[in-house]
Amino acid sequence: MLFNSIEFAIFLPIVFILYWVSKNHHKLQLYIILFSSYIFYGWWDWRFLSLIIFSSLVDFLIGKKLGKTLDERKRRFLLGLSLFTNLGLLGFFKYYNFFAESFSEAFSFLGREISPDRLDIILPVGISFYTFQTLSYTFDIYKKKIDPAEDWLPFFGFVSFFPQLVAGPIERASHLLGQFQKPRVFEYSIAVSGLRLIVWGLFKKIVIADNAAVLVDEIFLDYTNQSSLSLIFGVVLFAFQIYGDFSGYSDIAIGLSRIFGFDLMLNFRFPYLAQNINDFWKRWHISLSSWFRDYVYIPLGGSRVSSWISLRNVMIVFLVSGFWHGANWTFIIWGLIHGLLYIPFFFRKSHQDLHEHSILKKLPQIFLTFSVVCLAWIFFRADNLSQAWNYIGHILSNEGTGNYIFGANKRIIIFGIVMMFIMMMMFVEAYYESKQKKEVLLPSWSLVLLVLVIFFFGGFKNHESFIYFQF
Amino acid sequence: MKKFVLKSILYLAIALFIANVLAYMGLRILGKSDFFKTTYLVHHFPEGQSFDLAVFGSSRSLAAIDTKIIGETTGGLAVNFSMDYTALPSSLLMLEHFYAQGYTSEWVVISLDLPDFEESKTVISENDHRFLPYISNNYIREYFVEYEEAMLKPIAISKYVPVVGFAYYNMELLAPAVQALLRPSYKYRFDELGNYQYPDYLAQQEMPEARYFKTRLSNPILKEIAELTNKNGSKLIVYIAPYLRDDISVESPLDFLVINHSRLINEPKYFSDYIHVVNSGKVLATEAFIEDLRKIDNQP
Repeated sequence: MLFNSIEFAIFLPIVFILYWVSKNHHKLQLYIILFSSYIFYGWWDWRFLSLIIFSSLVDFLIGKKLGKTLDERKRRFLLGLSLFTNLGLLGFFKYYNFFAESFSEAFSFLGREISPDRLDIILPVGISFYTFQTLSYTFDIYKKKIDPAEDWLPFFGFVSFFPQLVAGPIERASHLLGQFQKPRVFEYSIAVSGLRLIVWGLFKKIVIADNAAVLVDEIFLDYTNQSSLSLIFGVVLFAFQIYGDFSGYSDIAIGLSRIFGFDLMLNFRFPYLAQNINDFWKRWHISLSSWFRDYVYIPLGGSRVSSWISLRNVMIVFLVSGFWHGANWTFIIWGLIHGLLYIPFFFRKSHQDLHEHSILKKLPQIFLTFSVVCLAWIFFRADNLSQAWNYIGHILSNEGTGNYIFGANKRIIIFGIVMMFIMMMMFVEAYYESKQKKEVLLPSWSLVLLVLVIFFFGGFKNHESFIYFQF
Repeated sequence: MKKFVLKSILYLAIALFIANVLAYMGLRILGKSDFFKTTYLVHHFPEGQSFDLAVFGSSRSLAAIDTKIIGETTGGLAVNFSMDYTALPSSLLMLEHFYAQGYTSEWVVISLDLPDFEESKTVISENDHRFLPYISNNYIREYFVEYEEAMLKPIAISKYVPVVGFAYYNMELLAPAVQALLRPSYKYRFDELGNYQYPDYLAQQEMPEARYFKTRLSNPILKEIAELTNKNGSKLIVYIAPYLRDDISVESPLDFLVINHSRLINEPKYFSDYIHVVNSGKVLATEAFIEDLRKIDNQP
């Protein structure tokens, strides 16, 4: 079920009413959350439900056992079992074909032909998100940061909570599980802030991302015939498509959670206002980058080891982060590019003053950072590495003469609309950034205006699924 | 919670009200303009207008038949109501729309394309949203109820909630509505007799390998069209416009008067692609059409 679908527009008010009508029955509320989350998830394919239930059950049982066991060897074994189960499922569904093909290609490079045994596997929606969420629970119990859940119901609700189930933010048990375990109180001001975020998120998704997608898809499809300018437009539009799509989803997820009395972590903080790559990664997909920091970088030694080992750890995090996005070398190279761009900041230990709140003064840095982020997006968006390199080659050589956007009136109109609203979004974000806010806090009257903008400028006909559902 | 729910409903209601008013106004402005062929058909001619020949079909007949040449040659009023990116069900709808204005035509030409000979897909065509300004008319609403695929039929329910259809087709309707407000007589890619042409510079260079099709005119929509034209006193001609590579032979076309020009032109320079003739091809196609029309007209 997509947030921007008719089904969800019917589903949400029903769940909301049932949930708050049962506000005096904490357990009943949890059942409502759990079953509605399973309906939400099963709407894609009911078979996926067995996976999420299995994953929840394994980590619940392992968590309980970990909490009771003091023997370090047994604890390690239990942690390993959780890792093996969760990463095994993720690896099978998401990476099996990638590894099979890569091995086959590696052998054929050495002169031996091995046909890859591809499996016809459907990737369960959001598997990377909820797997990481349940893993964080086991890790935190292992490190004795949290106590295991006594009751299965809050834990299962925590793993499958529908607002953030399929595309995050990737929550930690230390932050979210406790909220399931205690009764929730409806707070008007928080619910209103949630509603504002939902409308803002829908605006970013439907008006910016879905309209940009129409142009981006065709430019990337026909990139060999496009001029440099057209290709540059293509990648810039993709930068805003993926931002509108993913941060729009996160805003809706956070907003929905607030309506149900939950607080989710911030996932995006105006990333295209970042002044360098280091700053960018403190603003983009925060829940994933902090997950890798806490569960990969720090366990590997973090910055407590020698500079070179620490740098190795940084590069591992960026590469794994790229690989997390999908079973394709393009994502790995995307991670590598970000890792390489991060190196100067790694060695320059003295921190830059990023507290300059005058956006205008920092425009050159912001523009430069955005440009290198766009360069990396080419790899992220391309179907394969050769397409990415060729795309860059065509930008530099200007061989093509086509200009997809300016080839038809309708596309010019879509382009004009997308650019107008991108600028509007950036102005709004810059305003709140200068006020040192972490999210957009729109006044109530502007919500009516935004809803009108969504109706009259939204890409409903080009209705797209959320990009991050595939990860 | 009550305050939150009531305020949310209030804001949503305000937004929906304004959106519906704006959408209604947008559709009214379009409906009163000449912008689309569907709206031009309603406004450009006086009620009860009698035509000598009216063409209905897709972009193929739009490209192939020049009603200006027909009018000049025959001395009558001929108009091309074909619309690009449409199929036979849309042609039937346009014909119904035509008769609903009280118009008559001695000859009605229905252009038929390969996908529509034996049956048509139950889906709406790319440009059917151009009928949206008239969604309150039953024949139009019934069409969308039957042909729209989605669970929520955005055009069909626009009779009651105009913003649904307008929002769904906003990129196709918003700019035209603004244009129509500023210039109500502007016609989008057709002249006053409904003609549009593909320029000669788009001409093809190579002749593709021919494809042969043997088909029947068994599409039930054709029967509906025949009944409608018969009821309104028009004579029906089924027209197959030239193809660059497709040779179509129609089995037992006794039920209909057929002008089959699928293999009329065999040179790529007369085509912009495999299915549309360019301007010079249009002249050839129209002259041949007039000749065949005369033959049919002179038949006892």
